[in-house]
Amino acid sequence: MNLRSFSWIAIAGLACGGAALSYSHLSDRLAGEVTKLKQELSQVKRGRERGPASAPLVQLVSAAGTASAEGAPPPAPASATPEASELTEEQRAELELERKRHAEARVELFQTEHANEPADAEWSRAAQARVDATYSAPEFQALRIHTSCKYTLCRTDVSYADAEAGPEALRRFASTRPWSARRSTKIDLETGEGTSFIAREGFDLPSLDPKSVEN
Amino acid sequence: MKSSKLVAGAAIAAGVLLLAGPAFSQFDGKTIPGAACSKVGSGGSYDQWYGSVSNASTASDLLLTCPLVKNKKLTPGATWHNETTQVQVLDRNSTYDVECTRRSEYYSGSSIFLDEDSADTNGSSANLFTLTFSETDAVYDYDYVQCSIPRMQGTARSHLLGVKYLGLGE
Repeated sequence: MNLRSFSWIAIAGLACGGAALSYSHLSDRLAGEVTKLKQELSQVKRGRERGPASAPLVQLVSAAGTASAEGAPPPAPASATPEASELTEEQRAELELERKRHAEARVELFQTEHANEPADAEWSRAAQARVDATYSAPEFQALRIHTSCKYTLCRTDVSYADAEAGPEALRRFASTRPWSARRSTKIDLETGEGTSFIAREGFDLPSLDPKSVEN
Repeated sequence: MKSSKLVAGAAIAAGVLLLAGPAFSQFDGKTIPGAACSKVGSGGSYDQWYGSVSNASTASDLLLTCPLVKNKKLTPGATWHNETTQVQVLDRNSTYDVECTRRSEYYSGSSIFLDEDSADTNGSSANLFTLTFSETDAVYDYDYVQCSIPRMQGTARSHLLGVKYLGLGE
C-alpha cells in the first residue's frame, strides 16, 4: 500500500467515523425528542383524566360508597354507577351533599383565583366597561351590580332590594352575557344575591382539582 | 420461550381490556333537528324549512331554546356528563351574528348553579357553520342550548339546522 492509498483510506475512515458520530448524535436527539413527546402525551392524558368532566363523576359515584378523599379508590367505571333505587336514603343524601360541595368548591376556586390574579390594567378597564354597559340597560335597573376584572377573569356581584322587580331582573342578568366566553354563576333565590365569573375571551375558567374538594 | 409467554400474556390482557373497555366508556351521541327547538320571547318570526328553523322577520332576532335530551341514570355519574356539543347554523346576515350559548343548570336548596359556554359566527356565509362548545361538569342536572338567529338581510334568511351532542353511555 502506498502513501496515497493509505491517505485515501484514512480520509474515508474519518468521514465514516464522523458520519457515524453525527448519526449517533442525531439518533440521541431524536430519541430525546420522542421521550419528551411521550412525557408530554402522558401528561396530557393524565390532565384529561383529571379534568373537570371525569373527576366529579368519579367522586360523586365514590361518595355513594365508602371512599374518602385520602384513600379514594381508582376511578370507578361508569357501569359501576349505582341506580338511585339501589341506594339507601342515607346514601342518596350523602351523594347530594357531595354534589353541592363540589358545586360550592368550584365557586370558591373562582373566587380565590380571581382574588389572586394580577391585574392587566388595559384589559380590566375595557372589560369592566363592557360589563357595565351590558347591565346598564333598563331591564337591570332593579339590580345593584359591582364588577371587578383582573387578568383572565371578571367577577360580578349582583343583588336586589326590590322584591317585585328583582327576581326577574336577576333571571335576565343570568341569561345575558357581556361577551362570548365561558361563564359560571351562582344565585341564591332566598337572599336575592348572585355572583358571576366570566373568562376573558380566549381563556377558560379555572378547572377544579377534585382532590381539593374536602369531604 | 420466556418472551413468547410474556407476549401471549400481554395479548390476553389486551384482549380482556378491549372487551372490557367499551362497557364503561361508550360514547352516546345524539342529534336533534332545529325543528325540535322552541321559540322564546316575542322577537323574530319562527319558520321551518325542512328540519331547520329560520327567522322570517326583517325587524328582529329570533331566540330559540334547544333541550339536550339525554339517557341518564338517576344517580350522578358518567351519564350526567356531556363531552361536547355542536350547533350547525347558517348565518346570512353580515351585520348580526348567530349567537349561541350552551347552558347547564343545577338547583340545590335555594341556590342555582349555572355554567355556560358561548360561541358566535362572524360575518355572513352561504355555507354551513358549526359552533362547538366545551364539555360540561357532571354536577349539573340538565343542559340546553340557546341561540339568537339574526333577522333577514334582504331576502336571505339565517337558520339553525340542528344540534349534535356527545355524552357517555353505559
